[in-house]
Amino acid sequence: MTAPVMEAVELTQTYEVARGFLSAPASVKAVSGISFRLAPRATLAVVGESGSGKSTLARMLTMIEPPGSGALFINGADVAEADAATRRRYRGEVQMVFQNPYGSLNPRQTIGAAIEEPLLVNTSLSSAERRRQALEMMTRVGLRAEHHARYPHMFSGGQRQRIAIARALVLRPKILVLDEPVSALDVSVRAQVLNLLVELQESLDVAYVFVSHDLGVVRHMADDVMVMYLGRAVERGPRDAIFDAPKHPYTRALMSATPIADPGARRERIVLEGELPSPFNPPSGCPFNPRCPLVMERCRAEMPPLERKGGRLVACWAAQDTPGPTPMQRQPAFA
Amino acid sequence: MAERLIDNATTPTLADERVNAADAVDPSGAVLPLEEIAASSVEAVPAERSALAGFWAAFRENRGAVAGLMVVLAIAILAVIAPLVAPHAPTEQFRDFVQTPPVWSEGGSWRFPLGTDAVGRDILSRLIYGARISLGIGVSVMLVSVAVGIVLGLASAFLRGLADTVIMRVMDVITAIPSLVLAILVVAVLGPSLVNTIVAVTVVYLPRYVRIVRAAALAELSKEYVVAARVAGVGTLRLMFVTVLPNCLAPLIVQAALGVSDAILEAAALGFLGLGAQPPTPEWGAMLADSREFIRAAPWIVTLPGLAILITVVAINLMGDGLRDALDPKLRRS
Amino acid sequence: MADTPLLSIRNLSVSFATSRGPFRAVDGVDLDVSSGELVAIVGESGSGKSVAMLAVMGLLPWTATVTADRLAFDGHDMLALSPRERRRIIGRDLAMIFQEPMSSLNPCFTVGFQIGEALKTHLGLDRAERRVRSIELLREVGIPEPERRLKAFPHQLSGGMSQRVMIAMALACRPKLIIADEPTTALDVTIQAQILDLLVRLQRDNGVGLVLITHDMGVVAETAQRVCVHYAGQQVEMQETAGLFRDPHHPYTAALLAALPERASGRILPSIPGVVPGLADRPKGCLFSPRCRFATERCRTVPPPRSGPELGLALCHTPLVGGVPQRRTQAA
Ligand SMILES: Nc1ncnc2c1ncn2[C@@H]1O[C@H](COP(=O)(O)OP(=O)(O)OP(=O)(O)O)[C@@H](O)[C@H]1O
Ligand SMILES: Nc1ncnc2c1ncn2[C@@H]1O[C@H](COP(=O)(O)OP(=O)(O)OP(=O)(O)O)[C@@H](O)[C@H]1O
Ligand SMILES: [Mg+2]
Ligand SMILES: [Mg+2]
Repeated sequence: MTAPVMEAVELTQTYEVARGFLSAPASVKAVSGISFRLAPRATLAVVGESGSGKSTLARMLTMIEPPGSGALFINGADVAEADAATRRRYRGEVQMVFQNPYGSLNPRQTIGAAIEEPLLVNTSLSSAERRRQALEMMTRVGLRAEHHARYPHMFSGGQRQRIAIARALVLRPKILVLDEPVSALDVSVRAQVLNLLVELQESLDVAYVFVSHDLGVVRHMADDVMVMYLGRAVERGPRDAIFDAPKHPYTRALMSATPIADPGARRERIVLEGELPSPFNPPSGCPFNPRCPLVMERCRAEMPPLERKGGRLVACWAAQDTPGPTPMQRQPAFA
Repeated sequence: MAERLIDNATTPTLADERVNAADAVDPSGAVLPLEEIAASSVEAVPAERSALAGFWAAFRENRGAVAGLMVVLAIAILAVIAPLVAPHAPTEQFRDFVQTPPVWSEGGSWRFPLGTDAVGRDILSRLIYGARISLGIGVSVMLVSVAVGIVLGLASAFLRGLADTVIMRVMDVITAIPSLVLAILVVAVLGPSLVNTIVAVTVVYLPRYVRIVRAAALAELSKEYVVAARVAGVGTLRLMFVTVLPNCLAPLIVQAALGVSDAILEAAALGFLGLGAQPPTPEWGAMLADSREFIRAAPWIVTLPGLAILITVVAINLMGDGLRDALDPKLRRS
Repeated sequence: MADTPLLSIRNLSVSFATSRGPFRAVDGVDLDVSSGELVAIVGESGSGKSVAMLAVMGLLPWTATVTADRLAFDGHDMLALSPRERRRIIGRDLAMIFQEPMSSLNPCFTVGFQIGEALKTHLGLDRAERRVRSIELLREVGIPEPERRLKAFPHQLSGGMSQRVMIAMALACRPKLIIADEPTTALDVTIQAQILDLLVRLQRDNGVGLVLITHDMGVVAETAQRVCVHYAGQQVEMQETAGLFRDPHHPYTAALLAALPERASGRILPSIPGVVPGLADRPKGCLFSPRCRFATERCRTVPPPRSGPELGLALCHTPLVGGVPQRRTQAA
């Protein structure tokens, strides 16, 4: 196995949230104990509902926020504990694309300036060279040279996402963290951007951490999948293992809840009761136990560890080490 | 929503076809704008307006604002070319023509169109030169307080913590003291002069700029493009002044325009109290003060500087209101 | 259809006055919805789905001009109605659910007050009756402890709960037709499944007609009986759901389905090049022609005719059958 470009060990992030004037601040464990290794040119998809800590994880991976605890290795070097200078050096190795193409570009900056900015602040290239590289990257993502001097409001959502991708890749990072890169896009434009990402991964040798809540997209893009619930990884493993035979009841529920664009599809639908619990007072034991259809006494008391079962890691007391029923045996959905 | 309407750029495959089409049409190889290339197969619509043209169209809809702008421009031009248009020097005393009334009243003459004051100085000339001083005070107060306000506001928004607390509490203290009292206090400490008037009024008006910049910067800081810039490795200083500041300017410009008129008023008040410009400087507030005992005998000496202040302030405020409406996209029609 | 449909729209067009001239947001839309039927409207952002339905409700701003050959709901001509009469119908017989549950509820009033208000204006119930009915409604949409929730303010509810409250408000006066404008787009999939379950149950058990606006083909496949596909303000195809997914007749529908990652076979998705035309680049002929694989010279210059029902009413010169364009032999 090749050396991973990125390795996360037990990353944890806790936020203090002020609650009113006199009451003590509450703490939210936004992410706890996330570990993974990302091979060069591979794609790790992170899925989970809103509030499960996906963006918080992305912020730690891109070094915008230092992790509360845990270690982060980039190309073998520990950047979580490193000083500012070292972090700066590794900044160019990890870049990020954001969900909202309308908010992630500075409205008063031309496209050219936006794409050249990472080069300007991180390298000592001449302005002509910067411009050349920016133009080359623009061509790669399918923008034209005359777009260079235009402002973001003149572009559609899909094009803005191309601009954001060009800007993230202009430093030639080894890792690109994509936080819901296509959630705000329409189906036809989404396909264009996904294709672009596939092409760029091959031509530029980048590894992706692909955050998404859309299982269709994840299945299309990912090599490995990590499912998060309330800040924890509940299941992690190769894409096919997880999609063909999900073991964690939450993964199964997520898959059965995702609508399939095929009216003939028949499948079992697990409709979960209730909603994501408040992160301020997470349930004791397994965080999923209040909604879990398989809940046992043990789940309320003890937190299940992430264990290897059936070719992937899963954190569930009820999960068996045998291939489970596949959710693709379908029954009428809403008939 | 409006963005979709003005969206005329296209994605690569389509775009490439169009570029090729353009090459075929135009032998020089220059790439034509999309609209022209596509014109043959596309229904015609008026071209999209540039940001500046859009702003002007919105501004022009407000008649009061346009009138205000004209008046302000006229006064500014008068101030600049004062030596060319003023019939006399502002401090020249015509001892034989003390308290001459304006032309339109009995005893007036075209030599002194607006009459003369108690020591025989031509009021028109003094008003024209006074515009230099009043506008000068207004504009310089505005420039200084905007500059200082930007630095303090951005510092407070970016550094948070102790710096934020200290800056904002000092601003609170400044706002807690009645503005004129504070200005008098500053002038009393520094001594009355034109420069010190500017300092005093700047201190008085600083808090509003700091607050505006801080609030706007905090709003911008929560947006994703700021995080994106951080990920790209942009340092704090560049983030403050290059990334965030340009996006905070709209409310600041409006406030700055309105601030000019407030500063003129404040400086006039100080002048009136004898703490601002010292005689014989033709400052409007001081002119008002010098002549207040003649309000019955020679009312024009008091009225005319007062009118000048009034007209200038009203014009600037009208313009500022129009500016606010035009710069705020929420108040604009599509 | 033998019985008269609940909602009947013929040739509905809406244009907005903008600073750059009129903008046709909806262009010749036809739609019939019967009681107990679930019709989905799909299309990309900006294709006029919301505007078309807002036009039915009469909720468009004054810059909009609405024209239609027929716009009838439950026997009333919606265009000829006085504002007073229309207000009586809207909210009672015709209800709408919006995309943003959080911002559709008034943050200043409790849930109980807001549901009660609808009951008071339309049904004239007294206080005690309103309370009983509100609790009943909240229970119906699956809110646990409805008595306690009546006193809750909207910010104390999660997105899924707020959407349930919106649905409860829509149901308050037992409407005959509900228009749901992307009711689950802002919600997580597990919550989306709960809400869709609820809507489908209501439509099936209570016989309400339901118009579901969405851009998620998966949601359409799992819920709708009939689908309208919108493109750039035009209705390009309408078919039974099964038929649409099996054999789309309009090239846009076909391309849209092919671009779904879950239906793709290879790594590279068959995407649709280009973007939806805007005001400045609206083609003269077929609006989809610049992006269409099958476009001919005729498509680029002549607006396409509407095909018959056997071809999904496709707005196309060469509608597809089994993915192959059919040249028209005789002029229809
Ligand atoms: N700066 C912060 N201060 C306090 N709490 C935070 C902060 N950032 C995130 N959180 C909390 O951490 C949890 C995880 O948030 P996060 O944004 O990572 O979720 P997410 O999975 O990205 O959700 P979404 O899909 O909605 O983007 C949430 O409960 C959120 O309220
Ligand atoms: N008040 C308005 N003035 C001018 N144009 C408008 C107005 N409201 C909507 N439009 C335009 O009408 C078109 C259709 O808008 P509509 O909201 O119906 O789209 P939609 O299909 O509902 O998209 P989405 O999926 O984003 O909700 C858009 O191009 C929009 O810009
Ligand atoms: Mg997020
Ligand atoms: Mg809509």
